[in-house]
Amino acid sequence: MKLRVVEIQQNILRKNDDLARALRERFAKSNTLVVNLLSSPGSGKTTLLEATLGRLALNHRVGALVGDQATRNDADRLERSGAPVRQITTAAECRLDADMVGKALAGWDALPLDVLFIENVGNLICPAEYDLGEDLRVVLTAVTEGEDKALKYPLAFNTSRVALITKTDIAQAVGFDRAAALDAIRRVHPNIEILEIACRTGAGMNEWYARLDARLAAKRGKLAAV
Amino acid sequence: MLLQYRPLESISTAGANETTMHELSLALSLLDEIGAAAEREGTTRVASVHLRLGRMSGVMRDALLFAWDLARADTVASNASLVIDDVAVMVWCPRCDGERSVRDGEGLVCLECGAVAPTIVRGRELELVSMEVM
Repeated sequence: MKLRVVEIQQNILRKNDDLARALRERFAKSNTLVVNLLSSPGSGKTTLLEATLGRLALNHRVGALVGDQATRNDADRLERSGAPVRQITTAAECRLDADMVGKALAGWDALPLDVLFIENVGNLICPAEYDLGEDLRVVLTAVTEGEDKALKYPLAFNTSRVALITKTDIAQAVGFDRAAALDAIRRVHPNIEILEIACRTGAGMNEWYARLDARLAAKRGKLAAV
Repeated sequence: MLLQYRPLESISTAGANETTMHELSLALSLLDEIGAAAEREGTTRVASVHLRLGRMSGVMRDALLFAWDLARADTVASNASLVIDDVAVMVWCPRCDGERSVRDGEGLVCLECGAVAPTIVRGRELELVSMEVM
């Protein structure tokens, strides 16, 4: 039988991009600032969120979606902050996608939120490809991970607006080369905002909260002007 | 006398680690797109599928081929071969004012002039280009 060629030119992630666009419109209507947290396992996403949820809850309605392949440990930890938390168990999947986020929001009585954090699955490769409708993508790298994470996983840092260098309180003990790490990050994203934080001592955290407040104000301002 | 053949053992996914599972969901998305295109074309037989895969797409070529073999059973593409074109990463160099390549592991740095060039022009593709149908 004769074969014929059918031209398609279709991005395989188109469905995710469509769903993410719908989520973004929905979050725009509800004035919700959405922050997607990306990192390797063990960089401190959950610890950062424990502190951040507690602090932001003083002035805002905040909540979190937590992606985890198997356990509820992270969600349980975050619930102790008092903020509403929903777990997304991804099983074999190594990232969250927009469909999972949409389903996790269904019937959630905590909505609408002022700020929604999405803690992605610990992985710097796959999550970088999936838009979740977020306003702000934040990538974390701990001083214990060495200086070259950005060079190894350029897309995660290239697509993030903020990079957090975490656990700076033990930087000296692990021989962290700060200048090399900053250089590596700027070699994939020169304009990225870099903050250096230590959740345990609180160093740099006020700056992080101030940036979030500014983002939230900007989002509301933009909507008010429409 | 008729020979009795044992059915093939069901496909084992024992070799499928976390990374592979990411590729499995991509293979399923790919098959969705192929199914939709086949329906538009009024065909139920796809002979080959042509995919463009960027080096910075986060997808491992071999894992995707492995996942493809698992996922295509009982679809219009059950006998289709998957042809993958690798796409090298190209960035827009602001200093050279043109598309330039980069070296793996050294950041998004223009190979010609050394300027940081964070605008990725090519290399993120995960694109179903075309297919051959009967």
